Amino acid sequence: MSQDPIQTPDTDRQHLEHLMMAALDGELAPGERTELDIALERDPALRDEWERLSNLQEVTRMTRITTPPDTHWDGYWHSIYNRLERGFGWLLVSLGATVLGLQGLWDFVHELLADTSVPDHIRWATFALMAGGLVLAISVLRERLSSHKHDPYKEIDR
Amino acid sequence: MTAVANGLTEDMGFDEAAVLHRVRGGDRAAFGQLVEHTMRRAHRVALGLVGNMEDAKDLSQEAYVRAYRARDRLDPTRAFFPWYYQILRRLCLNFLRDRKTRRRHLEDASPWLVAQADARASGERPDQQSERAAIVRRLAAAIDALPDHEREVFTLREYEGLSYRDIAELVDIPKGTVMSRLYNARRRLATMLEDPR
Repeated sequence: MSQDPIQTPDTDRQHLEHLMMAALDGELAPGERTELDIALERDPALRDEWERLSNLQEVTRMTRITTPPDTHWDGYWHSIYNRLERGFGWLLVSLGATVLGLQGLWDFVHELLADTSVPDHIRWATFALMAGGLVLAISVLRERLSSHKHDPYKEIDR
Repeated sequence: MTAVANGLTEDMGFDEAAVLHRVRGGDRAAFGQLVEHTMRRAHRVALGLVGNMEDAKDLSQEAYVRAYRARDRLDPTRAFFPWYYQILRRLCLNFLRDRKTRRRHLEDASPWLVAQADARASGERPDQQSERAAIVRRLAAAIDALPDHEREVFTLREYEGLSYRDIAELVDIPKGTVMSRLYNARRRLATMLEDPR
């Protein structure tokens, strides 16, 4: 009592694709199996696709993700622990370097201004160097902020 | 989150909530227990995503480091793994986005996908074994070539055995999107296996 072959309309297509997935993965709700069987019976193209997907399922089922050897886990936790410790170390180093660097810069500028024997062109060159560095730093910071605002991948950690 | 917890809990005897409380308080030894408890699953999931043993190890470790640093946001009343997975998947997807690292991965010869043990030990002839090995290699290459989001859903379903609901919660997408991504992934894989060019 088979019906004439028909092509499934696009509007129903996605629903049937989901039904095929659920059938392959054992997630069909009661009654859906009959719905899928009727659709497969009526649409030869859908039937072909179902066979292709079923064949793929058979191939996939005979594989698994590699299990690493036991030695792979040696030092796994210690490596994490070391990274945590190193992270704290880098934080302290960065903080210390920033404070000392700023203090050194301040002392340098202070002495430069106080020392009358330093020629004017050296003073101006130093001033230009520092002002330029400041402008560049602000520019880079502003660009970073702007690109972060418009970055579609900003939720992904870099 | 309960469904995901059910799908991702390996040892029901492990008192995760108590350990999470200690981790929140900065107890590194407790965090070590948590790592030991979840590292194999973390590594397997990462391997399914990036397809390289060493990269999976490095990324899963880095995700643990970031998880510990963000321990203030841990909720001891909820399962740890789904929360950790959010960190891990971002790292892995970011890693895959980098073309250089992808090239490095493709040059790597160590297989991340193998035949099931029962299939290998079923008394096959050598020619059948080599044919099976070739199919597994082709499947691994085809999965490598999938778009990242399809690959993620496909490996979670096929190799972690998670239900659609678990995957939807883990990846934070509707169940219908899980099914659509699975369908697209499987259709692409079937095509690639039929025409391996």
